[in-house]
Amino acid sequence: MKFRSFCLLFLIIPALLFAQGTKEQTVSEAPVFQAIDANNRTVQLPQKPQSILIAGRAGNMPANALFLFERVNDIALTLPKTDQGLGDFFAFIRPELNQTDRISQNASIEEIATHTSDVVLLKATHFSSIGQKLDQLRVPNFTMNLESWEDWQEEIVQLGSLLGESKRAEAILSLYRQRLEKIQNTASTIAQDQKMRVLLLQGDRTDNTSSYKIAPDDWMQTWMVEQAGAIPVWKGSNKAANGWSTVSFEQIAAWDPDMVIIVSYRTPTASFIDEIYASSIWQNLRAVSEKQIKASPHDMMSYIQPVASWILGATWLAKEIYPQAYSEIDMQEEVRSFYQDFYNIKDAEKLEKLVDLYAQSVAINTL
Amino acid sequence: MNDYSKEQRHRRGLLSSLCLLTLLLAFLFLFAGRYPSPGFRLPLDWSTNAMTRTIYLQVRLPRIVLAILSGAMLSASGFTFQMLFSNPLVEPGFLGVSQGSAFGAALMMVLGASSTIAVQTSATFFGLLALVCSYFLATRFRFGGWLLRLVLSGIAVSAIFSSALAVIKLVAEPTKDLQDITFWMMGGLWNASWRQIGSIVWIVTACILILLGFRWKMNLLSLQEKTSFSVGLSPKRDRVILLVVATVGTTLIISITGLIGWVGLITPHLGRKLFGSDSAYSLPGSMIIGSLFLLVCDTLGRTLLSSEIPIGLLSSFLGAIIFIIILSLRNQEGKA
Amino acid sequence: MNALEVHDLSFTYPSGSVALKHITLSIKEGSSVAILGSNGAGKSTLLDLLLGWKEDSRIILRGRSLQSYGRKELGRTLALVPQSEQYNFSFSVLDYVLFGRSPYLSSLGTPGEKDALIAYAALKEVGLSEYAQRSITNLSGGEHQLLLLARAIAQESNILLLDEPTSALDPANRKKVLGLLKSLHAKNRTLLFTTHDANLAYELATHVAMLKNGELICYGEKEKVVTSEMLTTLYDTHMHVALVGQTTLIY
Repeated sequence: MKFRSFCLLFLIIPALLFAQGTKEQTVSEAPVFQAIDANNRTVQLPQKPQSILIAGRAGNMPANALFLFERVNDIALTLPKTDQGLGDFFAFIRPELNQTDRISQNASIEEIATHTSDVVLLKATHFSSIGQKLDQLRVPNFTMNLESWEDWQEEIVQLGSLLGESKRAEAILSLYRQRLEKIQNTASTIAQDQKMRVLLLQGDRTDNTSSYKIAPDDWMQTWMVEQAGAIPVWKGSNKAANGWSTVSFEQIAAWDPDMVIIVSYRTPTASFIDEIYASSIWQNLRAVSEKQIKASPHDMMSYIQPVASWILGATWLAKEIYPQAYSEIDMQEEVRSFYQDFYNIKDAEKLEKLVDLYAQSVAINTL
Repeated sequence: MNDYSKEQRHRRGLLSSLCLLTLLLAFLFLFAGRYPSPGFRLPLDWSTNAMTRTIYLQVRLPRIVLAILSGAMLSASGFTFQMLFSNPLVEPGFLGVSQGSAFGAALMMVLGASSTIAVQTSATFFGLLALVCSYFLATRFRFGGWLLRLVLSGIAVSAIFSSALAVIKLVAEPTKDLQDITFWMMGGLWNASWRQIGSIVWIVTACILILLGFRWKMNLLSLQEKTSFSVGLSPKRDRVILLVVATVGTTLIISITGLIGWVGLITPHLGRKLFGSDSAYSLPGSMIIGSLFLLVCDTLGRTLLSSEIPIGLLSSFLGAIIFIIILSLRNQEGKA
Repeated sequence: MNALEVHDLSFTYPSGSVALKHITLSIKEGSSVAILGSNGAGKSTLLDLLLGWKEDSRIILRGRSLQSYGRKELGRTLALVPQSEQYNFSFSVLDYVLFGRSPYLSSLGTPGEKDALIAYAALKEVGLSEYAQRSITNLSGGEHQLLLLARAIAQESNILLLDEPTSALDPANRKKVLGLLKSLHAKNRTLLFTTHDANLAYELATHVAMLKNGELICYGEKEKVVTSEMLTTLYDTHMHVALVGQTTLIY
């Protein structure tokens, strides 16, 4: 009797489990929201995400992409600190974000999990340190690169799919394409021997001395200069393919660029421009004597980086490098319309604030 | 007796030759660089091109001077530590001096007090603090010989300051990668300017001269304290003086150049190999070798590629190779 | 004149253990004094104090307090031959002996020709002339001891303090070192040496001080104090002093 009961249990329990498993499989065979992330994983959500958490460093990049979708207004967000030093764009358009606590960029897996968000967005560089670990805890997470135009084209589509906003994703991309094509069409008419030789440098200040760095060849910064129809003189020089690397003044002099554009993600760019024009060493550079040292534009984030406003950066570069060829471009209008079309900002005061910030950032170029 | 004089003459001759070689290379390397194109080039347009003059006098020459100065100071400091702790495997980094000073410099920058004086003072203060902590911790430990205790406490203090440095970087630059730590961890002379050199040259030169003044006495300070006492020294006082002087000089260099590893460890060995163990010759010898070494490393770092190769990378790589070669070469049997 | 005088000297280590209790003795110039005692009797501590290594004002050196001597002056007066030395660097034998010239050099000075000559002479005296350029890490135990002696000789001080000068030596080397010490004594150097070897003490010394548990149990001319009774008290075991032909043997 006992033996038979035992055998019965031995058969029934696995059967029940098997049935359970099958049931789960049936449910998941009809995914509602699904997308493929930058690490080629298929992420499935049972319903439209109502809460999103952005984890890890460089959180402003996924946040940037996310905010392009108007739906974000209905989603509960947990963001890391996103102020690069110039102001917080996200709190600017959604002031209530200031009321909620931000999550630390170095938050532990446990802490991320306790927020029980529907999905966690993160940069692909955090795949092994955060993404895979969240997988083990069965917390849905989605990685993005967003480093190149190819990345943006692919990943905006996927993000749209995840949010159930595929139409909007297409709309965003066509907005980008429109603006980009405008630049590219004019750029293609510039003859090779007429092209400007441009040097883009990131300024870095340590201990009261400034040093300058060049971007890797395959980064968006390099690509943007090419799209504008110019020759990036540093291409082929950055051997540290995964980061900015320092160049000496001597090398800068050897390149003898027609124009130097200074980017700075922390210290105000104007301080570098002033220092360069005042330097007894730099004064020998042709670009200095021809007053071709330019501050790069920003509002709350620099435009010369792979954030959503990169298209403004590319437009600005084109206009700055070839003012005649791009004479019909009005940058302030470009900024205004960008935020209207891409971020759906209707508040005139907010728009003017952003335009104003942009105008101030490049004011030094016309002094 | 003849042997002795001959040996002295030989050593002095070698020192002079090395000095001359360093000066010669310093002069030659002035013509190496990236402008107007990579490689060696004579400045034929010196009188007509202001850029050429600027590059030579304001960009290359300060770097060459800084490389020579840093090489000499770091070597002298490493040599001194090895003699005072009677251990050929010691360098200031072992007692947390390098890490302490890097931390001190980074701290000032994060707090926004990035003036030259503030950074250098802080670097020196924390470098000395690390030394004092290592020393006192060692007196508190209750097992092992003195040297073992010192090395262990040095490891602990180094680790504390390294972590503190990492925390500063982590906390202070939330949206940036860890790229900037490169400067502190691997060092670089690309910031060299006459102004920077001017801020440290007097003190560093004084430190070098003081260490050179003690060059023969260092032999005795490597022996047991009682022995050096018995031949008329004040070993405790002399050790403190030399440790402080070596540390101050090192921290000032680090505050400008970042951490340049291996120099303080390798060049004393090379010096002893060439000049014998008598520190009266091997100390100055190590210093010259250190200057030569960093001169070569920096010239390679600024000429080979269009972007700068951190000097610490080159010094570690080349230093390790040279080290392996020295260790593999066998000394003539019985000869000092 | 007395070379060294000690008046009621006591010494306690920071850990609390008492090393010496009420030691009083006078050492005449030109004498050879053995400090005899078993291990832990306080011999090395006494030597350290006489060297000036630990501060004490109850030691009189040549009529003046030990404290009143400057470092170099003291170095020119007293020389130490330690029991052993550790070497981490391969100095040459000659360079090592030159260390003994330190009290005669200026603060930032290095040895000159004259010092080299004195060092060579010291090496000759101990029989290590041919080893001048050899590394000190390549010496045997006996040669090691001779090296330490050579350095002390180069120091040209009249008073030599020796810590267990023959304890680690084989009989041949012991004989050699003993001969050297005797000849140094004959040249009017004052010798003060610690040993637990009663035979060495008798052979080399003119006077013997016996130290037991930090106390001086006797001091005087060796013929008077080195007796079977005293030695038995010192070592807590039966000791005999016997005359064998011309030689005194202690066992």
